[in-house]
Amino acid sequence: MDNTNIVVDLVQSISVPPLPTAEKQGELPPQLLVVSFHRGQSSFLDMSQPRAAVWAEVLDSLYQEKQPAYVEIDPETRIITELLIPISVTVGEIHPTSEGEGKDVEVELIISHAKHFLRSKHPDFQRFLKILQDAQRQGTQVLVTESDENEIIDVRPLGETAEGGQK
Amino acid sequence: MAITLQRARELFDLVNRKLCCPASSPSPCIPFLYPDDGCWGRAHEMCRLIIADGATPRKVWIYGNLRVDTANNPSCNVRWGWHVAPTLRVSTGSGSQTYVIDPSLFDRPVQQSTWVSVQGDASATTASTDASVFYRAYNGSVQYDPTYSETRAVLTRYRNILKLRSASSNGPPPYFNCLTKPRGVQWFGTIGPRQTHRWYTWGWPSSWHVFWTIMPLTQCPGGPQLTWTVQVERASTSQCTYWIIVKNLTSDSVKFEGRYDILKR
Repeated sequence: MDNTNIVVDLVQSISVPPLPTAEKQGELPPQLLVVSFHRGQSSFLDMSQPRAAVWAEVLDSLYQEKQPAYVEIDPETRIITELLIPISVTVGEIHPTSEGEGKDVEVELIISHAKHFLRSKHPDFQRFLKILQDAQRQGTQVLVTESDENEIIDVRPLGETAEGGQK
Repeated sequence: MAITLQRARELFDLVNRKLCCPASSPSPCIPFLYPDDGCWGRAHEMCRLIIADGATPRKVWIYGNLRVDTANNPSCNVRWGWHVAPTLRVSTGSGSQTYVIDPSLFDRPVQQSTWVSVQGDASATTASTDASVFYRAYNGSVQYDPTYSETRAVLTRYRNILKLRSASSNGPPPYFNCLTKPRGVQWFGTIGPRQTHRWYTWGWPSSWHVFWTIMPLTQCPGGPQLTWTVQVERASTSQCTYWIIVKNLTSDSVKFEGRYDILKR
């Protein structure tokens, strides 16, 4: 488990940092964008990285559409190391799956036609499962973020979008 | 009213031309190359386009433990609880049949039975609705999106997810581990945005006349993607080495295959 900070929140702004600040700090890479989030967190997007141009486009799209982003941030440099897109859904059936390990569950998310899996090996398995079960019982929406393999890596009730976290 | 199969092909091409280039994915393209999720948005947008072109589509919904092989997912398959696509009635010699328009799975209109058969669940159930239904749950409850606002949001979300996948280490679709190299293909390659890169292939008999073609595998309609030049080195009395320089003309990464034809041995 590393100490990557996780932010799930609306994008407040994307901007170029003031040049004197960047010069003064010295150690910062020269091509940075400042990505600020609705509830006050801020981070940097290192535009020298190969994926950064696409990430900047996607973050701008999320800003325009007022949709939340999931970002992992290096706690020392504040540089974004991962960007994913949470989906806002209600929860349908939750049932054990025979695939994978241990007590993995398959979760029906509405509206989504993909199959979604919460793996028991995830360190927050129990917490995420409870949030999903509560949302299922109450018919409320949750924000679910998945890896590219459709494995659930973050769950939080809608409206609770700015929680920091550790991975 | 039933239409001809030719008209169905035209309507398929109409929607397929809206395919998103994986990395740039400009609005209002349709992210057919992200088959993992978002079919209800794609289907609603396709119906809008087909209706605007004067036809009368419906939708087919399938429910089950679905699993579809695809080269457009790094795992080479996608798994669904349900799926939806537009349908058209097509005249046949003896009546009419339902054809499905689904560029996420096929490169042409296919009969509904074919569409069902590739989804890997013999006990799957299907239901038909008119085109206005945006979402139909397994229990039959439905939601509508007459203003297409939800449709736009779904398409935007999955366009962005396709972009993120294409910018990751997986690169854009298709994924080589899902492809079988056909006869006449020497290699699969990937070339970054605006990049020029040189490949070489050695041990070719110098007496042969070999013709090289670079064919993009990453779909991105709208303009040329790649250009190439071939250079040759006489490596020995009997063998030569071809040096093939590929240039990516686009701002997207492109996967391609290097093809050869032996015109004379």
